Amino acid sequence: MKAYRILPLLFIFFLLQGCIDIIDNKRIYLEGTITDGDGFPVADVPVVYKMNGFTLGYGFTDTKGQYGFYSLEADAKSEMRLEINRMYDEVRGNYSSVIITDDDEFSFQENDYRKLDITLQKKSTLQFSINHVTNINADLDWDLQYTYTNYYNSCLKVYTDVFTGCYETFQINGTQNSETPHKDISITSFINQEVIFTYQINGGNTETVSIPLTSENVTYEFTY
Amino acid sequence: MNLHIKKSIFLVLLLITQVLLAQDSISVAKPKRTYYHGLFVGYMMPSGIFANKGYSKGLKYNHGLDFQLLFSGLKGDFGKHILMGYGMSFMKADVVDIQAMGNYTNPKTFAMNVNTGYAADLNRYLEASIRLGVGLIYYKGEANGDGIRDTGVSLTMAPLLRYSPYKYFGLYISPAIQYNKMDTNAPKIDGRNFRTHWLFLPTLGITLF
Repeated sequence: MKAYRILPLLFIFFLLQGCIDIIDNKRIYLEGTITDGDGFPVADVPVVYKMNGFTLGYGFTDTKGQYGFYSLEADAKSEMRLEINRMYDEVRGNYSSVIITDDDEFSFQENDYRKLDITLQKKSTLQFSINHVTNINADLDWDLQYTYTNYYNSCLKVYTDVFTGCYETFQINGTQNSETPHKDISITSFINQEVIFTYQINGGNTETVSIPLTSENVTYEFTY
Repeated sequence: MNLHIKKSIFLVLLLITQVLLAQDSISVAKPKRTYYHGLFVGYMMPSGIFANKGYSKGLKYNHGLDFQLLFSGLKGDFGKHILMGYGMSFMKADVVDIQAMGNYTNPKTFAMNVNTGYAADLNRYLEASIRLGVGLIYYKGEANGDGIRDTGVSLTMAPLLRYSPYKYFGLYISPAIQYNKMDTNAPKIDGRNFRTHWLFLPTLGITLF
């Protein structure tokens, strides 16, 4: 077959990529209440219903933490996502986000109406600093592992190298030496999580420090 | 008061004034009518009614165009008053409440219908009629590279006042009411459903033939 004969087919194929098939004459309704870890309602939280990356409907919580909105529905079951407290792929405000992906428990396809009550965790910011305080030259290899402010109901969606349970976990590392003996790092996670600091000095034994995030702002200084 | 309704009242008054002035200045006898007919081309200023309980809760209608062809369906002194015909209309709207409708934009409406009705002369220049239409209505919006489509059955009742100073040209006004029985499936929340859809369609236009 000549190449030009399949060009129209390729063109149609590329047109179909990324599209979704919205179901005619259909709406679904999603509602629920968003609270924080202490049970208090959280206002102005966006709840976004997506299919294959496209937003089909969204709403915001009121002062009672309640949301409720009609949404379009599409035929793309495997790519359903309900995103709470995320807009434009960013976590908003002082709370974590929750991402619910399609599985049996949360499937919207079988029902036109779903009620989902969600608890958001408060964010916690760790100001972490590494300081060299002796006159002895030393090389410090370090690694910080922490839970990011996304929570997934399903462990099937892995977007980072490290994935612990249903939380999205990030890892950063570095080396301090005589040229750059100090380092300041700001990390956002959420309350009641731990940041794990692992280090080696001059290639020696690996040591681990656990830093609990007990409040919205935590500071920790590591000296060597 | 809704701007569309204000415009409609103003134009009705203007039309009546024109009729009265025309009656004073023209005294040529008009031959007895043997049948009614006309092509009605109108500008619609739609607005949703009972919107909080129905389909149009999150929609704001902009304007529309209406085309209706009507003619006497029967012969005889009574039969000539019975109207028949068909027509179509187009409307544009905006989704102003995404939480009430879903995430889509630029909904456009296309409706086609068949009509029956009754017409009678009020005087030499004024004709009153009522039109009953039944047909199909079709909503199309844009969503994420795809279209959203809502369909339904449309019932229209349109009282109409026509002013014809010339044989083949006239003006008309019609405060129509339209009920659309939509096919859209959605959960009923707070008494609202997507099946019921009422519209008020004040229409101003010209008549030809």
